[in-house]
Amino acid sequence: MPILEVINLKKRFGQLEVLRGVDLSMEKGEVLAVIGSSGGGKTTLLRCLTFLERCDSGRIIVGGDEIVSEAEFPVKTKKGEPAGTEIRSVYPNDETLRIKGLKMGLVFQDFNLFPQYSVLGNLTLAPMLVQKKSRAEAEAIADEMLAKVGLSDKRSAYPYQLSGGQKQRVAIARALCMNPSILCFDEPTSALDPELTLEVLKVIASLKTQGVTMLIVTHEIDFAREVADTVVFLDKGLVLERGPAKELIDHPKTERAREFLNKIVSRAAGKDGE
Amino acid sequence: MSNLISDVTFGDVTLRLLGGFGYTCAIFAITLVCALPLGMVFCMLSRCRLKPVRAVMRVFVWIIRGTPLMLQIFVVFFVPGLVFNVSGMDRFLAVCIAFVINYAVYFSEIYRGGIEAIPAGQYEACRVLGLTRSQTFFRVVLPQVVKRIMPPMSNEVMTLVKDTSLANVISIGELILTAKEIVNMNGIIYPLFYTAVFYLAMCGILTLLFRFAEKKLDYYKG
Repeated sequence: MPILEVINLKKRFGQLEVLRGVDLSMEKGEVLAVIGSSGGGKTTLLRCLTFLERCDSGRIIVGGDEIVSEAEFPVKTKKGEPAGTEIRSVYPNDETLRIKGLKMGLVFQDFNLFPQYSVLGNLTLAPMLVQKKSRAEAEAIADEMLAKVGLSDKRSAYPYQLSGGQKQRVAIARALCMNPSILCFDEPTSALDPELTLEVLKVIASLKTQGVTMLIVTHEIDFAREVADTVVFLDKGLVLERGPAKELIDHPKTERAREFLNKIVSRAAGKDGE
Repeated sequence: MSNLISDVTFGDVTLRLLGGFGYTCAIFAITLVCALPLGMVFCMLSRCRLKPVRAVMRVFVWIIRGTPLMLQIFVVFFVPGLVFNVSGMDRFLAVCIAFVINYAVYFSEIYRGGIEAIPAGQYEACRVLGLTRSQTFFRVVLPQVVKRIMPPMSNEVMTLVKDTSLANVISIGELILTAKEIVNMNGIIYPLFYTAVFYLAMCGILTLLFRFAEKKLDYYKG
C-alpha cells in the first residue's frame, strides 16, 4: 500500500490554473524529488499536501486514510438556475484536519523557527501542546532528533545565534519530533549559500539511510539525482514525467524536461567556468 | 498681597500638590488597567472576519483619533445629561470613561501593528505542527508582539501621564487644577511650574521600568 496517494489534484487561484490534475504516489521509505521551473506549481502542490492550501478537486490519501475525498456538488449559474454538477474536494472539519495533518511534516524554505524559544523550546513546543507529551518525554525525543541533525551542542541556543544551515537543521529536527509519515521539504536550501547548502543536504541524505519517507521540492538537481529514488518533473501544473532519479535526470524523455535540465546543467557549467 | 504670600509655605504647596498628584495617579492607573485589555478587544474587532464589524471599528477609530481628548471628556460628561436627562454625571467617572476609550483605541492600533508585523511563516509553522489557533496566538504570536510593541507603548504611556492634566477641564482636582487654585488664591506663580517636577518624576520612573522590560525581552532577536 502506498504511503501517499494523490489523485487528480487541481488548484486554481482566480483565473490561474496552478495545478491541473496532479497524480502522485509514494511508498514508505521512498525519497521523491519534485523538480521543474518556477511557477510550475511545485510549491502549491507541497502546500496542498501539507494542508496549508486547500485544493479545488482531487483526493489525498495518506497511509490508507483518505484525508481529502471528492464529492459531486450541484452548480448554479449566476441567475441561480441549476447547471449540472461538478466534482470538488471534501475536507474534514478543521479539528480533524489539524490532527490528521500531523502525518505530513514540512520544512520551510526560510526555516520559520520561533525566535523567542531556544532550540529545545522550538522542538518541544508542539509535542507538549499537541501530542500532550510530558516535558521529559518531549526533551528526550528532541535530544534524539538534534543528534540526528548533528546539533546536540546547540540545544540551549536561540535561533538568532545560529547560521542559516544550522537553523534549517533545527527546522528539520522540529518536524521530525512530530514523527510525521512523510517529511516534506520546500526548497530547503534556497535561502542558503553553497557551503551551508551542503551541510543541510548531508543531513537529508543521512535521514534517507534511516528510512525517513521524504518529498523534496528542490532546485538542486545533482542532489536529487544522488539522493532521491524517484524524480517527478512538474510543468505548468502537470506531472510531465516521472521515473527513477538517475534515469530521468540523465535521459529525460519529454522535450520540456530535456530543455529544463539542459538549462540547469549549462548554468552549473557556467558557474564552474568563472 | 505680601500678606497672602507669606500665608503659604513651600511645604503647604507641596502637600496640596501631592493631593492633586493622587488624582493624576488614579486617572493614570485606572486608564492603564482598563485600556490595556480593552485595546486588545478593539484590536480583535478590527481584525474580525466579518466585514461590517471591521467597518464599524474603522469609523470608531477615526472618530476617537480624529477628535481632541478634551472634547471627548466634555462629550462623556455633558451628553448623557442632555440626551437621557440623567443629572449629575460623576466627574471622575466621566474622565475615566473618556480616557479609557481614547487610550484603548490607540493601544488597539499599536497591537494591530504588532500582530500584523508577525510573518505569515510563523502561523504556517504552527499549523503544520498542529497547534490550535489559541495556542498559536498565546504561545507563538503574542510573545513576539509584546517585544515589538514595547517602544511605541512606552511612548503612549508617557503621553498618558501628561494627558491626565486634561481632566482639569471638568474641574477634577488633579495636579494642574490644584496648582491653578493655589496660584489664584495666593497670587504666586511658582506652584504651576512646580507641577513639572511631579510629571518628570513619574515619567522618569516609567522610563526606567520600560528600559528594564526591554532588557528582559532582549534575550532573543527578531
